[in-house]
Amino acid sequence: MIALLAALLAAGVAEPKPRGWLEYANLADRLSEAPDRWDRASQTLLLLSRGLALAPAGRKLDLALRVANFERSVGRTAQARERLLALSALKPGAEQARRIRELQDRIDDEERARFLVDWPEPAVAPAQEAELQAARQQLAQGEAQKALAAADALSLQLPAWRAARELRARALDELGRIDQEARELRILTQLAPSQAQAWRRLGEILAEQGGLLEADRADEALRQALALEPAWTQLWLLRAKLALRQGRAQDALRALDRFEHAGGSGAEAARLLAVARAQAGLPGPAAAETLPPRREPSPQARALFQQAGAVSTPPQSAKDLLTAALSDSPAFVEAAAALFALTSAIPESTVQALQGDGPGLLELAAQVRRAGGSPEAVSPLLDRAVALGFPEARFARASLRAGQADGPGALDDLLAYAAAPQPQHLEEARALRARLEEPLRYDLPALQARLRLLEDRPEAALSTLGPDCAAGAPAARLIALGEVHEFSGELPQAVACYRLAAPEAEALQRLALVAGRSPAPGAEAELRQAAALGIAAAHWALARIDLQSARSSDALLQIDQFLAAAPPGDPGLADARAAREQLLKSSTAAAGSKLRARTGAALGAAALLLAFFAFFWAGAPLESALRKAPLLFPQAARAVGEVRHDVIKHRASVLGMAREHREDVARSLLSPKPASQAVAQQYQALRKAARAQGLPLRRLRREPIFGPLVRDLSRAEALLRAPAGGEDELLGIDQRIREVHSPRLAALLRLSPRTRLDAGALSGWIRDVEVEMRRGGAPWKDPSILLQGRSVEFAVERSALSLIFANLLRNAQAAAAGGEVIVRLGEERDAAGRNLTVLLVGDSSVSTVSLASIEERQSGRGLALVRDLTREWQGHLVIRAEEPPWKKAVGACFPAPPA
Amino acid sequence: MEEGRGRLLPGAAGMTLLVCEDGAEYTERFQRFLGAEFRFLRAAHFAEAVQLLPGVRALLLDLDFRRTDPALLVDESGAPAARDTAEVQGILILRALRSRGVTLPALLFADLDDDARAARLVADLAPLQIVPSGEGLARIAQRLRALPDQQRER
Repeated sequence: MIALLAALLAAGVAEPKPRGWLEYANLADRLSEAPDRWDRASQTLLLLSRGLALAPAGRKLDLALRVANFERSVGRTAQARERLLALSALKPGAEQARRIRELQDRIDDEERARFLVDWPEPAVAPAQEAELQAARQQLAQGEAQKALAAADALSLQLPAWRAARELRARALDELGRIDQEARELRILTQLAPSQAQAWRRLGEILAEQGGLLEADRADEALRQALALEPAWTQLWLLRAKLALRQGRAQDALRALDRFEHAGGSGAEAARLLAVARAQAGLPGPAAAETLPPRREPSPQARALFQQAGAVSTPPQSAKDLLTAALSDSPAFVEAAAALFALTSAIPESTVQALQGDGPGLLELAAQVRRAGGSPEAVSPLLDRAVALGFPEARFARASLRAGQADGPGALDDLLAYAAAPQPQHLEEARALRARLEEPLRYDLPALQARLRLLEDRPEAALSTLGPDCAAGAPAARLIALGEVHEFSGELPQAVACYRLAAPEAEALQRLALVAGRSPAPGAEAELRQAAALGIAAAHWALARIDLQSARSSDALLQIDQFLAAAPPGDPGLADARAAREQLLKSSTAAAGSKLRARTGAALGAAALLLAFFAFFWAGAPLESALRKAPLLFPQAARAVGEVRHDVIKHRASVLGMAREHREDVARSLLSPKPASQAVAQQYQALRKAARAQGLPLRRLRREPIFGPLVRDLSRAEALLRAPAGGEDELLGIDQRIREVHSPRLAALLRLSPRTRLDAGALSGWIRDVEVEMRRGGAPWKDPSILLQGRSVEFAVERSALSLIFANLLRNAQAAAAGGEVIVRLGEERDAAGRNLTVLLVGDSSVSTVSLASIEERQSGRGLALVRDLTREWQGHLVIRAEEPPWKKAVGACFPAPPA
Repeated sequence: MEEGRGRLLPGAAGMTLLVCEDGAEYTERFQRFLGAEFRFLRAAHFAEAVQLLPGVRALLLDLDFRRTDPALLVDESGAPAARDTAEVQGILILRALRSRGVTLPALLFADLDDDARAARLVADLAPLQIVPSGEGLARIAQRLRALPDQQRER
């Protein structure tokens, strides 16, 4: 039936006749997913309204919900909102209320995503286009001043024309007028949030020149740039620097981790890593507020105004008092508005007094409107404020015009407003624009995914885009998925997505950029396709495959082609030049055959030497591994604990008594098995665990902490196997164990990962759980959040903590079944003197849970998973009673991070 | 028994010390190396420690009691406690003893890795010394021998 109706609609048959309300409902559901729903939106809505009229009273609400969903699906969100608002007033049942809330949330999210859409370009005359072209040439010829003058004139004529603004920014950059350039770039990004290059340059300027006050804006700009262009991996370094400047060491570490995962490395990253690890958190300064100009009335005028407002004052007297107040202080906006309420006229003296005061006129207009003034009464005030160049008046006038059904006039104002330097109501302006315009067909999932990337939640972005890359999926979705993987530093997955989207040009371009950072031999065919299309980065990507396969001459050819064609800002340029130089040196060195033979022998020896060194030096020291792979920490902490307790405390601590108790000391160290072997076994287990995480550890002999300890223990054991002698050396070893090895082991425990949670981070995690639960149809209640201080730092790796939190929250939501839920984060000290960080999620359910019952649960999900993960991170579960309306809270306590 | 410059410390010889630990490693080690000088008793949990207190001159406490039956674990007041208290049980036993008026000097064998926490505990549970794992038995013996002097000074 549905198919038939859809076909009828598609065929333009005006009168398809579904019979029952359910058929209408199914039709609405089906059509809200149809790819061509936009084309038949009005027709479909007409049909659905007929269904609404025919539906039985008990089913109207269900059908109306589906209709609202259809309206949402075709971008008519204002109508959908109104419909939902009306439905909310009809006292829906719990399930219906939940569905209404879900749909409202979905509309909210989609509208937020639409904020990422660029504003429309104004109409540009051919002459203006020609002027811009001429100015571009001037800039190219080094005449930045002239180019700037031309761009200024064009921007004045068409404030929302991006090309003119872009040229203006470039000219200002050439002239070194960085502050003005930043201002221009801000406007450009307001007009076109998809301009990655503008975000990047703005972020760079603010990061380098802006100091602490601009650090947040700089980071925001860099986040926008990275969300649009994940290949700009160097921006992670800049973000790390910003985070360090603001005392956000954990964020810096995360940015550096992303840099590394994206294929980046280098001395600067290592330096920042060291700084980040050493840094403690510092609070950032509050941004300075801009206060509006003051139009303070005199004390006398204020007294008269108060008298006029007294309940006992008759209207005529009030009028006289207000007139007197305005005679004294004509710019007294409140008095003028009050007088307007009594006389329906705005005093001319006030208008005159505010002639040059844009904010004053705007305030007067607002107050007069509140006092019942008509649009016609306030319109001249707003016109004057606009004429004075006060940007907020544009927004106010747009709202007024929208109310007067003057859509084009309102849109003109909104466009000018979006091009203003610092609009205070840009989001509201976007919402107003969305209401005024014919709904546009945005690729909403892609926009929503970008929104999630801006929130630094790639996993949520993936979830928004649907199932991961698979053959046959639309190219746009595959590219969007690839970008998210690229953003997360999951380069092989990104390559796989882009390959599936080939031969789409954008996919090939992205593939080339990724493969330039991380060689992708499997993608050679697609890269050759890209090179044939003139994508310069593909040559560098192919060169990297050739280099990896030791095909030097092919690599050189590709590098030359890349260097000839790559744009100046291409991220592969520096590496390509270095590789070329290296290749040329190698080929020169191989010129003479005699020399070649010798060189060959020397190289052979060197290779052997290298292999020898690699055998011993391959892998990372434990300290460095813990920095790179925080998930290794629990195992490392356990190994260190065992060595300190079993070996150092209970066995090696007797070494100092070898002179008096040689036989006992020997037994203590050598049986049941030598202490050195016990330490070696601990280290080998740790090495195995690290390898499983893709991070090989150094061989024991070259490991700087465990290696020397094992050597000292082995030496002590060798001495003790002899019947006598070596007492002094044993005392030396005893001393080293106390003064060198023990502190080194203790220092490893200070390398625990740290996750700082503030309200923002917590909200992000809550949203993730909410999306998942709502998708599964589970009840949801927005939890209250009680955070002790501005943030709480946990000595737990972020993903582990997030998993613990998600399971606690899911459990509480399920228990509460729509009732109250609370999230508490804080610090406390226990009876053993430990400082603990505590994460609790409470609910209002009367059902109880005990530690014993959690203990009995099978591992793998829910509270059992919380239990196991909490223990893994050296914490313990707690269950506490909560004050009403909550009943209990389940949570996890962890030792606070070491100072 | 001689110490340092060959002087015999008065009061230390034959002193009875109560070792509170979940295994027997401390007791065996102390017995083997210091048994000629001191007498060591072992208590595996709080209740046993209370029973063995008469005649004891000092307490030696392990920190971690994970091998102890959870039913025998106590909190700082001596009341039964959850199993997660096992890893700090030594401190809780000492607190519970102090809350019952036991003022014997105590050595807690623990790697706290937190100077501030250690200082707080030493102040709260005095007379208390915290002995890290790296400390050799020779130095521990010195501490034990010095206990009577410290008690006299108090």
